[in-house]
Amino acid sequence: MNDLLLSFRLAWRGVRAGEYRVLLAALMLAVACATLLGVVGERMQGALDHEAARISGGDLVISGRQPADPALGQWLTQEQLRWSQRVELTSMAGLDDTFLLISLSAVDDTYPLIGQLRIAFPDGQEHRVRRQPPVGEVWLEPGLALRLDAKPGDWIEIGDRELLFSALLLETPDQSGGFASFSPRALVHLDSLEGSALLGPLSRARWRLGMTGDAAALARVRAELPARLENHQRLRDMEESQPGIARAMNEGRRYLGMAGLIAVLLAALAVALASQRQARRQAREVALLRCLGQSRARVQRLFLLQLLWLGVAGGLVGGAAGYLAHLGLVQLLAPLLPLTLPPPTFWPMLAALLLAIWLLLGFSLAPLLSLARVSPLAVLQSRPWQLSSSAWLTYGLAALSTLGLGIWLSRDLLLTLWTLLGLLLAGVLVALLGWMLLRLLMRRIELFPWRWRQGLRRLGRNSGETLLQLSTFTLAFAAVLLVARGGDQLVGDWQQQLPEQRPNQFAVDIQPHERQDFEQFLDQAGLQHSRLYPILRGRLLLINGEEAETQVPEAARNDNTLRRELNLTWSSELPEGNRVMAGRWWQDGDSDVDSVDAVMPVSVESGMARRLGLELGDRMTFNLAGSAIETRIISLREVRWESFNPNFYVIFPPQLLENQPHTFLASFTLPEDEGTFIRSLTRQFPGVAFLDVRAILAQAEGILRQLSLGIQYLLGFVLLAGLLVTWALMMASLDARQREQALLKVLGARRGLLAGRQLAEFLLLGGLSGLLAAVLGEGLYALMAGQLFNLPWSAAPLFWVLPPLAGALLLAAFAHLALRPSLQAAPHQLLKRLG
Amino acid sequence: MIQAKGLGYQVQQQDKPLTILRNLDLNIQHGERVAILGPSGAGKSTLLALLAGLDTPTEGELLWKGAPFSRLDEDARADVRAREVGFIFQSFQLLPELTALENVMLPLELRNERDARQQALQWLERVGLSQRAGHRPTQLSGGEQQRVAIARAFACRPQVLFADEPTGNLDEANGRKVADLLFDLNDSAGQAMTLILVTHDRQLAARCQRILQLEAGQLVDEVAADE
Repeated sequence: MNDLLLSFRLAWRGVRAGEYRVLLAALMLAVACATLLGVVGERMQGALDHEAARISGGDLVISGRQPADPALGQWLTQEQLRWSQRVELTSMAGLDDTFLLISLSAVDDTYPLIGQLRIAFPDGQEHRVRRQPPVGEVWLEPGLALRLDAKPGDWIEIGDRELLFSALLLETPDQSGGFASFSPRALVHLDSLEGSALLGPLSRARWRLGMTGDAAALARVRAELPARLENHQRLRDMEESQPGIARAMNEGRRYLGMAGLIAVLLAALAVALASQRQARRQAREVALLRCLGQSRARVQRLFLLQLLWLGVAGGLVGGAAGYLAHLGLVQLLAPLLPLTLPPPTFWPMLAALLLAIWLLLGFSLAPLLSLARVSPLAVLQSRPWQLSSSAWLTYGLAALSTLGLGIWLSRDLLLTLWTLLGLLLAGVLVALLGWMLLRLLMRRIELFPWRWRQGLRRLGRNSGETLLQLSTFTLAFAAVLLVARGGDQLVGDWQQQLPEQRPNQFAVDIQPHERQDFEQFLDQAGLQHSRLYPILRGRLLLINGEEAETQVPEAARNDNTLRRELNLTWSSELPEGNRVMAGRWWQDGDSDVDSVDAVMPVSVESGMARRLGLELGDRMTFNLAGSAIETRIISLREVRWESFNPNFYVIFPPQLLENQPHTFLASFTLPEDEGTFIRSLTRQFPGVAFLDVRAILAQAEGILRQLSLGIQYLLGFVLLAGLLVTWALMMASLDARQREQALLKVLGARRGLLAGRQLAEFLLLGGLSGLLAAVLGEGLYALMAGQLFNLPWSAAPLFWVLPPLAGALLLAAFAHLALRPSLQAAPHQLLKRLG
Repeated sequence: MIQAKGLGYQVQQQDKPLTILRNLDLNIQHGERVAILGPSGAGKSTLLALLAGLDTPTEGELLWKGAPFSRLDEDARADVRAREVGFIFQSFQLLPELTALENVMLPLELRNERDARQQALQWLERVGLSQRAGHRPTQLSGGEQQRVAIARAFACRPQVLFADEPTGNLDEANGRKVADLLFDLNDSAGQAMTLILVTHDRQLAARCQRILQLEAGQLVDEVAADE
């Protein structure tokens, strides 16, 4: 108990005297970043799950060809889950003589399970509601109402029912950004269709039962559900229903994870550097305590306890700072995060404490234990001495600590091991390259002016220390560059997805004879538009000559792709936002197929191919308006569904299908104030349907903007950690440099000369580090961009030019700040201070 | 009190043994004031370190109050130092991050003495530095730093006080003041405290009862101070 109090007093005196400044700052930053990363990562995951659940209509969704057995609903209620069932089908809607194909959703009393609907009543007022249309009424999308020329109060014929049009359906929470279906939507109550032929035995309706509730109940149900599903039912794969926004969120989350991990590792590196320096500085105190009769064990105990106190302080302050920083980030990302956040717990603070102590022990224990073995006589007589700890123990503990930290943060042993191995190899590689560069410069030393020669000589003379500093600076710079580079390209990529003039309207069902007039109409109005893509509707019948359902993996047997007609197209060029991942795009001759009986080459979207287990060379037979068309897959395409351009699962080469019945599809950009344009378009082309995606776009834009802000916010932490490492490394060599400066001043060196030499030395060191960091960071980024963010590597000359300059200036500035007091101090004062 | 028999000390330097002390016999009585005099490199500080148990001899034996001291393990020797030994160093060896008061408090705190602060303040007053209690070593002159170091050494009322060139880093006037203070305090402790002083200053050595002359690691002469 006494030692606990005494160690607290000793630690407090050290803190007060500024002794632990760098160590504590590094520790607090590491803990703050880890806390931030942990809490935000968890919340981002929660947000992602929430988003997926909102769009899918539940945390878990069962899809089936018939309504779910009431017993299943009872079981879900017993399990404390809320659930909702809806049915989706394609039908005709009519008013007077106009009939249109629509996507009809019929929902029960508990719809919407998650989120709200946006509707407009006849009074023109918009409302956010959490309810469904009353029985006997229908809500129509504005485009559909326009084409039917329907006004609230009209009776709309849907299948064998007549329903009252009572509100415009502006937005539903389960509105997908994927545009798998291009038909306008109508929403009714499930009871409105009771007994209707629409839900009869021949119906192609898809039933969906979505459920939500607390995580434990959901996990329980998820585990038991497969055994309770009927043959026609399956659990929906979230990937099918996630829109492009979810992908951006996934990328963002991965980025935040990587940036956070790098920030913590950098701060941990700063802790390691500061610990080493601290150990050396404490040698005199240890020697004195030994002279004062303290046993090694007690000295070690006292210092260990001091470490624990520092850990507690660093953990508490760092944890609190991390928690506050997380609140800032949550504020920035507010629209993304779930509305109901779990209440703050003590766990992050406890984790912060444990992390701080873990880091300190990992990096400081070995030097601390060996301190007590240093000969007190050697220290007190200022004779040379070395910390005698075994290198295995020192590096082993540090590696163990870093490994534990990595696993804790990434929850992935293999990833952590590879990362650390990569860092080690990178460090060795950098040291080797640095050594070669240094030797090269030393050989040409006579080419440099006098002060630069002096700086270079100092670097060359202490080559071990120089290479260590060079490797550390380089790794720190490279890490910051990697994060900055990733963030820059990710944000740039998102901005590219959402350009200023992006399409916000889709026009479907354009007849071939209307094609030219429609395009001309858009051109005359000065609207930017995509080209017009032909659309054919076809059902996949066979795969490699066998019934498709028997050829796909079991999980895909009920896949929508097999149940509904797909939108197919032909195109001579690879559509914008598509990338061929395997195989090849069309070549001359691909369109030279003599008859419809021959095998036609096709290009398939990679996600669909993955789900259905399709590979290059597989044959698919489609039913197109009654004829069987056999195809062979010659390419797999990655499609950016979030690009808001028309996208297709299957593309044929041009010319082959032009005789098949088809319509055209286009997207165009309608300025915000062009409210009446759609009306005149509808009058001109009454058969064309229009889909307004402005609401979805606005939502996507908001999310991407928030994510970009989040990235910049975290980049700030990474930069701070990088600066701290640089500062810690500078401080680690400060005492020796100050002593050297004092001695040189005693020997008559002038202040200007010393400052010039110092400037040259650090400009060289920083420039070299920056150069090597640019090479290393770029190499790492080229390896990681595709893996982590699905981004192709692209050149960024700024990231190659800036690092050497920034490195040189940064180190020179830090050296100036750190060494200015000693440069200005009288040499005898300096020697006295350094002992 | 302290007895050395055939004491020797060797270190390895570039794989060759280097003898620092050889075949040294001496006997120091309780309450005695002994000076170890000799030129630089004679082995004075090493002898002091061996007598204080900071290091172990490579030859011979050291007895402390008749009991073998050099054969004790490090922790046991540390216990003896904690109970019975005080140190004063040529380069003061104050901890730079602690104030003068905290430096004096440190050994008292290590002994878990309840009124460490009060005692330390009293000792600072005795060495004339109560006004500088809150100053850090870098804010004190050399003479003042050594006075703090003396206060720290006396604060624990050691039975044996080892002083290694206590005036070596000070100018003549300051050196004299520090020496006066050291001997005054030693006088006031009377027979309760043995003082072993390493110096190359003959005047300082002359203030001790006995002078041991050390040259090239060997005891070449032993005289009473008044001879």
